[in-house]
Amino acid sequence: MTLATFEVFRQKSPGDPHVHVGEVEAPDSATAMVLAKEHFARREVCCSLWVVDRAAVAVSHWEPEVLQAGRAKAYRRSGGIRASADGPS
Amino acid sequence: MAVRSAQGTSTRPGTAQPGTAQPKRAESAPPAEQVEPWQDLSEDYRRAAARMIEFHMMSEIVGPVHEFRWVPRAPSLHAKQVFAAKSQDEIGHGLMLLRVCEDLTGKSRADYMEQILDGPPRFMNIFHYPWDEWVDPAIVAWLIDGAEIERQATLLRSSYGPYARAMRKIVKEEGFHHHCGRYLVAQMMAGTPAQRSAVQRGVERWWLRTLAMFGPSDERSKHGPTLMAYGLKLSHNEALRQSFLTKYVPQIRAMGVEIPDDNLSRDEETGRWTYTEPDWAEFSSLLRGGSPVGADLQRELREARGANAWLLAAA
Repeated sequence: MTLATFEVFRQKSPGDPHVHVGEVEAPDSATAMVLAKEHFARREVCCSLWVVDRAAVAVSHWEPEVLQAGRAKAYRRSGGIRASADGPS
Repeated sequence: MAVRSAQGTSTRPGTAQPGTAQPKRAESAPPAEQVEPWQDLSEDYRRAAARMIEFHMMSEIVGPVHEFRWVPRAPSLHAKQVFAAKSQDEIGHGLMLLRVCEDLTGKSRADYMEQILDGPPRFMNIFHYPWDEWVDPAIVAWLIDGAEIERQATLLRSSYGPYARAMRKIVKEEGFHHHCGRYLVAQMMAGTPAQRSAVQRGVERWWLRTLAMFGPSDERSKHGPTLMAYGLKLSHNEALRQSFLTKYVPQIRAMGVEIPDDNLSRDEETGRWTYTEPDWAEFSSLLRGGSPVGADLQRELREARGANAWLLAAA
């Protein structure tokens, strides 16, 4: 039996995002789903689960600085304006 | 907050070691102090993390054997349900930590199963004692799981990200166990004189084992200072023991149980407890060499594994 690692995502209630909660190991996704239910939906609030084979996940390779570069672009945030009787408010 | 490495320099956990290349990001570390398995972690950090997490993992898998043995013998349907659920929780914690260990060390599930079933008994002291009376599992759930929460709540901030995340679920579920244990003990205390004296005997048996569970204070702890320096561990053993005493001494007394320690007292000014020390020689001999009781837990797991082999083969 060959086991694969499946990443488990849980949605707490309708409208919430599916959030990563852990992993299970299983021979296939149907078995992974049963294990995910037993591990992550037995005690917890849950309305939906995703299991994703880890091999199918593409991971970013950039350094954190590159991914955070957007925050340095101050020109994207315009300054405030003072509201007055004869100007825009 | 910067985390000190074992060498005492201020750096991110697991990165700086003498003689090893500094990771490129060391200068501009992101605000989070937690690290992930795919990062450039020093061998020393990985080794320290693996030692700590593997010990926790094996405890969560071997320990529940005591608990599921009590499912058929528990005195009420409710108590059976509590222990069935508790065993399942603990094994679940073990499986989560097994995943954490696999990603940390690169060992496979099969390697770890061999280590758990046939390897040296690297698990908590409390599993090396027999759980012969009904009061034993109830007191362990009440006091030991309570003590575990003290420690594990600090590990939510452990520097190893996957471990800290696994701890969220673990701490929450240990909370259920503690409350169930407290309820079961309270039921016995509201029962017959024989039940009340069973609880008293139980606390007498488990008191020093519970205090020992936190481990010796720093000057006697072999790996503690390294784990603290790496931010893998967040609180000193003695600090955790003191906070356990502050919380639980009044709780135990309120339950109507006497604590078997004439030296137990609290300094009103400093808030510090004086207590009779557990037998640390016994503690280290159990952690290093195991016990017949512990060996029997591993044997039972081996037999269960053997009995399920046909299912694993068919899957």
